[in-house]
Amino acid sequence: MTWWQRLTRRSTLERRLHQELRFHLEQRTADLIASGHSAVEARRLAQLEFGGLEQIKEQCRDARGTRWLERWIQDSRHALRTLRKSPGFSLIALLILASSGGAVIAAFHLVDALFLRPLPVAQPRELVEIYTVDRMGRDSALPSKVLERLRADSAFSGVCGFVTPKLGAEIAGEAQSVGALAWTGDCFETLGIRPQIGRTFSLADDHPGAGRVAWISDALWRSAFQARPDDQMPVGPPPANGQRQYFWSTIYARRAPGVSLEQARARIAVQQRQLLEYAVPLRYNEAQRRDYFARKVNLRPAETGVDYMLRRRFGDPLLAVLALCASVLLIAWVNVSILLLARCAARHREFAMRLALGARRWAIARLIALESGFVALAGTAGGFVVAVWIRQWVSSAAAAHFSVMIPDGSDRSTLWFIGGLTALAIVALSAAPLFHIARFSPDDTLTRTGRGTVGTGTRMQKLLLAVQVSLTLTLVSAAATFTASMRTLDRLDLGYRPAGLSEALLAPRPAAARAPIDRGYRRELLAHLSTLPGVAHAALSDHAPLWHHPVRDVVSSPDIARLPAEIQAHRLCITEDYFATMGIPLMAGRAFQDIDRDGPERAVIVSQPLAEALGGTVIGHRIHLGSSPALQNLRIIGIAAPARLDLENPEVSRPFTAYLNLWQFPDRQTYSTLLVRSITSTAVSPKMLRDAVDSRGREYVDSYRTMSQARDGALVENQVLASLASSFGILTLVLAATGLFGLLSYQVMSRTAEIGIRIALGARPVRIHWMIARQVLPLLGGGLLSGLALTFSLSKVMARLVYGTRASDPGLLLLSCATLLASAVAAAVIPARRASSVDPATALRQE
Amino acid sequence: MANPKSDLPQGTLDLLILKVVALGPIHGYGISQRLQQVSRDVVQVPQGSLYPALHRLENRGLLTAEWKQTENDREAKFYRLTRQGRASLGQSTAQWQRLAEAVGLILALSEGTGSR
Repeated sequence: MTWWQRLTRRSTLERRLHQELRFHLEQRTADLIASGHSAVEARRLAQLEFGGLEQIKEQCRDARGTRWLERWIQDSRHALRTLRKSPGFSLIALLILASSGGAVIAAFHLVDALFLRPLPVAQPRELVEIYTVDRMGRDSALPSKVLERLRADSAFSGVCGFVTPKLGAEIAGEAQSVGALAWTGDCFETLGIRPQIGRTFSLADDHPGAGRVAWISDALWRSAFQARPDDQMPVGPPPANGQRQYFWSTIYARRAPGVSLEQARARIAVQQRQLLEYAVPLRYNEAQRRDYFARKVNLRPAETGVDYMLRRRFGDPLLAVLALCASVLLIAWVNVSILLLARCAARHREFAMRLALGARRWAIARLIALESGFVALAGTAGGFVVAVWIRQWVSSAAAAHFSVMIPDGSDRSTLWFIGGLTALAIVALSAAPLFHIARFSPDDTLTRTGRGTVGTGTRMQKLLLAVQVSLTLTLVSAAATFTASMRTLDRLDLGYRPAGLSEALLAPRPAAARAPIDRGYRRELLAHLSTLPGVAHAALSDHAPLWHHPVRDVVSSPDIARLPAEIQAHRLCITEDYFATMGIPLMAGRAFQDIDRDGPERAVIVSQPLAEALGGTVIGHRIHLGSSPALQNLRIIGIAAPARLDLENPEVSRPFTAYLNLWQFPDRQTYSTLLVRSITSTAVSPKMLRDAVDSRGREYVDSYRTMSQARDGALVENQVLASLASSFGILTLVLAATGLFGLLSYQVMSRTAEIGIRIALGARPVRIHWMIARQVLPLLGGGLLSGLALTFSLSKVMARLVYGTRASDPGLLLLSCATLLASAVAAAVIPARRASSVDPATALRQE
Repeated sequence: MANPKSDLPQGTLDLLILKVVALGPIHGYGISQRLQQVSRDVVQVPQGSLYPALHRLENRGLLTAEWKQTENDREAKFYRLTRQGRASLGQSTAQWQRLAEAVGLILALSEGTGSR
């Protein structure tokens, strides 16, 4: 019989064992009777010779070798039965643990998806990204020519250069944008990607004369072509210059076998000058070359890919959410520990009895640990389910703002995380009860009657209670800070009215490649739009306000002798009606006019803060933006009021902006943003805009937002953080209040007899309330004080993460303290009132 | 319980059981009777302690058991030697004999040569 059968067929084994021993006894008795003993005598003798039946059975069971496991199973059953007997406790513990655990798991899943998940390619650990850092500290790509050098480098076994252009595609007669990845022919091999159907392309395809080929993803194949095997898809637009020899490209390389990350980095560091020189664009002027050669070529691991936008925007907030969730979980653990301790205390008699009957202390400890373990396991399992719900919710909420794909499955690191979390939960939840059992003295319990004073719970309970109060205060004040920040952001003055304003991203139709997107067409489009009902103004820009981040340039000027420090400004190209459409007033000078386009000089309008930084009266002066030849000697013709067109950093209330005339920069015109101001405060409908653009036949509306939506999208990380934080704050406050209430009312209830005696002896209810309160207040005080200390020490981190809050807001802290205090007082006084109103005779009869 | 006339040295019970079972399938009571008869009542195993030993040997795979009818039509658990059990019996027997020989030699030595 295998050990497994021994475990699973215990009842059969037991029956057989009994049968076997009985057989022996009966045979022996029969033999003794046969040899002349009386039946009674024979039975007695047989039993005597045999020895204690139960003892022998125990020895036989021990001989099976699975006893320890059986004990565990027996105890597990017992623990489960005990939990089932108090469904209220089990349910509350499960709810607390599942909600907090679920939040942590979901938060970790997002962190994992954003930071930890390796790319789905062969050996992602070997991949590195080679990039440059410019003078302003920004990461940027390299000219693709660098790839030629890197291909020859023995430190790398393969390289891959790629760009992610915007691509319009016509699918089933409808123009729409598809995500595109344009990469060099060696990428397939470098990344180890195989086609599902068809062939890969190779370096041989990498020359301008080769036929144009594309790969499509399985999803696109299924949705656009209904999975037909062979098809052609018109995509566009064609590049402005088909013979381009280089492009700026993100560069991945695979480290050659045996080359460490450090060696690869050293290799790049040594040849950075040669790399830059080899690939320098020939048309660069002196200033551009200076900028170009000031770059530093760097290398970093690319195991998890590159997603700058998401990581930069959501990295810190997500980690903050994870920290928030983790502290909620910590509070939940403390809370459930308190409940478990209270249960232990209620079972003192049972434990004392077991010990008196000869149970070993560790056997009781095992029982307790199993109970805590089951609570922890069930809690984590529930948490997993909650996490799946949260993930679905986040996915659908994120879809409103981003085209983000949050992977569904749980990968290895998530599983590890859940495993670790479970183990930690088991340890955390059994620690306090085990400690309690280790110090438990059975003699006290058995000699003490139910009549005496019972005290106010163990020192452990008090400590945990104080810890909980402290953590809760910290979290509640953190939550309040986030919420206050959101309110500040809601009132943020943008410098223009978002209501009634809408923006649409335009993209060229692929099939209409022959009809150029030129000035004439654009003028006609704007003219057409302004005739539509409900449209007050319409303008074009190369930047979508509050949607995309504008380009930044260093500002310099030949006319102003001394500029204070290095000035950087946002640069955007606009049409004449831009300021009227946005509602940004002009402070001085004039707006662009149609005639500016043909003038010998290019004009620029600067924002008021930039004008002040340049010295105030700057109209007529010339400025340079960066080093590109087209952006030198721009004549300032006007000063616009400050307007926040980008909320990447909401702290910047007076942004530096340089507006250029879009008509003077034909290369900025391909992908434009259409801005439309309605005559009312309701934005123009997307359908009307789409129809208007479609009717001209050359472009389509890639996506549409009202300015209010764009504003929400720009602040989404703050809003998500704030709403999460405030719901967590409320959750923990509820947790803390239930914990306080549960424990205090339990303690007060166990003193009902004592309270009854006191009342019978003439104590007044007020005195009783005070007696209870006096025992609770020091705990609360201690908890609140340490919570305040914790809050202050965290405030620096908070101030960095959260916009518009001073480190510690005394009003908020006071409010949190008062809430906790009130819930504690309520938790103590309500049961005390109940106890003191009980008839003393009844109270005395209660054990 | 009758006092055993001779205490069994450690580990000997297993050997005795294996030897008895080697003679053919037999139930626990049969083993105890056989042990008593063959050893002419010198070796008396406390009857109860036979069973833990039997179960231990069964779990170690030296014995296997099945429930069968006895001649007077009762169900009993009959033990049988496994191949492993037979090998173990051979080993233990040889070991025991070597030990017995050595002990015999030493005992003989102390009588005959002690005075010289």
